[in-house]
Amino acid sequence: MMMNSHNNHMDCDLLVIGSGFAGMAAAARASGLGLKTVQTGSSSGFYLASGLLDFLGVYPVDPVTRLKNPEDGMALLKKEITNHPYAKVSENKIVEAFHFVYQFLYDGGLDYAFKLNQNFQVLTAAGTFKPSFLVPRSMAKSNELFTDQKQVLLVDFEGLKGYSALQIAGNLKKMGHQVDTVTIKVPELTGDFNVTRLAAKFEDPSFLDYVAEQVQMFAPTKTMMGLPAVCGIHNTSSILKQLESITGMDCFEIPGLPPSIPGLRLKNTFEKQLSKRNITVLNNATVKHNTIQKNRLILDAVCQNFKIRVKARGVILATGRFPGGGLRAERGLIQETVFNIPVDQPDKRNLWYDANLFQAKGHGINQAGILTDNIFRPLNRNNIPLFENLYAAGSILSHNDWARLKSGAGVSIVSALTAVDHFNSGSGGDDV
Amino acid sequence: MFEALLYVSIFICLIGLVFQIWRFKRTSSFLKHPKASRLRSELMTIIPGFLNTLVQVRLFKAGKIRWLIHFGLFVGFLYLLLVHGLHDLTSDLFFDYYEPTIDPYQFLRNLNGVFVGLGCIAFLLRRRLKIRINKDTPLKYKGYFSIILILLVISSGFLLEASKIISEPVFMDMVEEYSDVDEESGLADLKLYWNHNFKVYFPQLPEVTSSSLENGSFLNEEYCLSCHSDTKSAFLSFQAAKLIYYAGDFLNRHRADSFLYAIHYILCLCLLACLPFSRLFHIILIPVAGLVKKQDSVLHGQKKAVVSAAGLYACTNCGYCSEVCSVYPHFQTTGNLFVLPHSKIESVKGLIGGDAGINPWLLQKGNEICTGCYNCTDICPSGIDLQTLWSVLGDTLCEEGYLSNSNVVNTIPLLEWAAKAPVSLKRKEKKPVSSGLADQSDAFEACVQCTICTNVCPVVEYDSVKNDYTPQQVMNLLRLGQRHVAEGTRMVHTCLTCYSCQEVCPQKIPVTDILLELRNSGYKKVETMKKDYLKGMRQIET
Repeated sequence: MMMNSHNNHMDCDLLVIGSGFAGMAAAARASGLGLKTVQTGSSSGFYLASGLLDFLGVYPVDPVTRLKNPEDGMALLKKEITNHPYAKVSENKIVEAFHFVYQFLYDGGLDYAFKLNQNFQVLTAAGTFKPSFLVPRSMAKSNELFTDQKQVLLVDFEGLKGYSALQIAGNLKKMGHQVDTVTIKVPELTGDFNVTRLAAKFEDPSFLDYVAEQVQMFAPTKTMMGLPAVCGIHNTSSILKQLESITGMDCFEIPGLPPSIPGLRLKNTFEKQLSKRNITVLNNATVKHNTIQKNRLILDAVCQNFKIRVKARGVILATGRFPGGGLRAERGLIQETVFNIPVDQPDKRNLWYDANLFQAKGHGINQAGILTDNIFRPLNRNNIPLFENLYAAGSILSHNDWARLKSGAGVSIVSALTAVDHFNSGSGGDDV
Repeated sequence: MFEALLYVSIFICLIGLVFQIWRFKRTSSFLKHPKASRLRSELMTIIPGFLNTLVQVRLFKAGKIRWLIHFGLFVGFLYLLLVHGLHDLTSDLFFDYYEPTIDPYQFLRNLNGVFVGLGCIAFLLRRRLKIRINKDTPLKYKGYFSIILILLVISSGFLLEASKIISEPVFMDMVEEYSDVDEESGLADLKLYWNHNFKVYFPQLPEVTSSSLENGSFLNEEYCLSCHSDTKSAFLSFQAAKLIYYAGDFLNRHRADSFLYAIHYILCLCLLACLPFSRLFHIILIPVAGLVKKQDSVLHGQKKAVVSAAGLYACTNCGYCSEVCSVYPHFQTTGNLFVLPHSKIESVKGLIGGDAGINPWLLQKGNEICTGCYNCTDICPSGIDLQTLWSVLGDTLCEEGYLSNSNVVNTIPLLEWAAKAPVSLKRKEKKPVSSGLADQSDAFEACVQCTICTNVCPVVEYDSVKNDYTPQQVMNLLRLGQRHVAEGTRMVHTCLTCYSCQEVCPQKIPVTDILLELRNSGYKKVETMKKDYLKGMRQIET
């Protein structure tokens, strides 16, 4: 990394703007390809992530469709929404992208699970099942509850907010499961404690013994034990294995409300792995496009106490939507914040939202975003790529109603990886 | 007489050791704080301790150039001590045949002397020039004494060797003792050869002829060569000899070599006698401290360095800690030396020793600025757990009545604090009190109370004082327009300014900046409360 502290500028191959899922995936891929990479943004959004990485959970959008196999919805999706990011790539590429992320996380010690042509149905803290493709190994087991009837024990912790074993039990009982709940008092934690403290407790083997003691009376009748997703911050797999060996029940985690520990695990793993691979991170820097010079994009990264000019041969724009700061809703217009790329959006503000809030098809604003070509380069108003080596990835892409289609991670990963791969394959020749 | 002096200095050294042990006992009572307890020795620390003693691993981590200079000095010193200083005892152990005046020993003695000398000069320069630290500050480092003493020993050694090189009396003694050369068999030729090649000074010498030099060379090989290499290999002493050659007559007449020998010897004895009293004692204390490790599994579950008496006195006052101190800018602004670790540790020793010159209030003020960033502990080449020391220091001072601001806040109920609303809030002034972040609703109104800041907050997690409000709750107080209440929350005054909350806030709220600003604006109120408290204490006393 060329960094000149006097003039405060950096030279790099690839600048990844954003530290959400798309940004992390892009940085992971770029570091693996040996590109000098600078990443900006804040990874705090991971605290809001459930830890489930979706491919495609719902299509067509209606109240009953829950895809057992993501591929089942793909053909129709590609046909109906021609501008959807998935319509620009092959199914193989998507699966390969998931496999890349699986391997990357596995190398970082975070164990995920996936099966080809199948969604896991993961039990959530609301007592519902959510279809997801690449899921933490600790949550994968709850898939069995979706198909078979089981003897389940659900564990709750006194003072844990946003989680109710009773509510989950209610839903499971409706499905015919034999469910019992137990609420465990956590020693030393009283009142409204925070989740990370509880999760840290799980790292202590004596606490596991304590939990096992509390659930012992249920062990003879129950085969499975569900816990909130707080079982350790670093060694969840071995913690659950240990719990299973003490209690004799199959243990699984149930993802719930933020702050989310599975999200924190993702954040930690990405950051640990990326720092090992020499990614330069300008944490919390806000980036503004400045100019172009000899095929180099010049951007200003502004942090609290420093300002750095970054010269990059390529840029991946993974700034997200409104919460991430990639898009901003002005009075009558939605704008992109870094390059001022034209945003594909409803013509008028009163078309942003449908009168019915729970409209199954979603709202106009959910389709807003950046239009790209097939390799995810943003287009100008004449449908020509804005810059040779500027790519957009993740939720900022238009016609990608990821929250409704349950396809957030998949869109992020596949667009980020396609963009990085394309940049890498074309980057040999145009070096000035 | 020299022998008597040797015994005297060994005696002083032993007394010093006893003194040190006595001092440790006093120190231990100070360190008998719950946070500093749980001392225990472990087998595991022997290997890292051994490595640190031998190759100074910790110093290597602190800086490569520093390590290089120190390691050169260390190796040089060790060589000079073992091979040169104690050669009567050690030469048989290490070598088949040892004479200090043959190569490689003659060369090595010079080389190691140069290592030590250069090292000392580098140490002095660093302490004088305050490299990396603002030169205009009244910073003072301690530990000059032992450096200068070693430098004196080294330079007297070089001068001694130089004066021996040019010395005619020494030459004559050697000739008498080890050869049967006399005036007839060519003493003049040998003198000529030694003068010509080895710079021995003779008042009168015959003309140089090739035959006389040849004869001199022959005699040299016959009688001298087995014990004497070319003096040029003593490269620094030889250069010094060349310089003092011109005063050779005077020096030889007054036996400068014996004089310098006495000086060199006495200086060495001084070094020995002063060892337990000076910073040089760190060569003993650091390995000792390394053996007594403290395991603080409650806090972080990882092994930390030592807070022990040995560790405390192992400090050489090198000042690396102050160079990396996170709150150095605070010292630049306020000039309070007690902000800086290298100055604080001296004052801790002063307090234990009953030094009346230390103002405990000022010390507490300096100490409470510490953010607990562990920079000083990480860099300390002596491996002292400075961080724990500061926390012990702060608590000890509080127990003795020297309260820190956060202590004051912790003792005041929030309602009482809120009752002391600043004058400006009574709507007398038109201008706002300040226009900082805490007054701009843009800065905090985006807060969605997601509690992520609270979840990453180390203060909340450790929760030493039962925090009343967590960071997101402080933000909520601001949203409710309760700024003056927010100033009095414990969170604001126990914040470490680690910036974790600000870094993770999904709404990009400058949480830490706001907390810090609230602390600063609440500061004046705390100061008046502290005064009230003191007044109350005095009334109780009288």
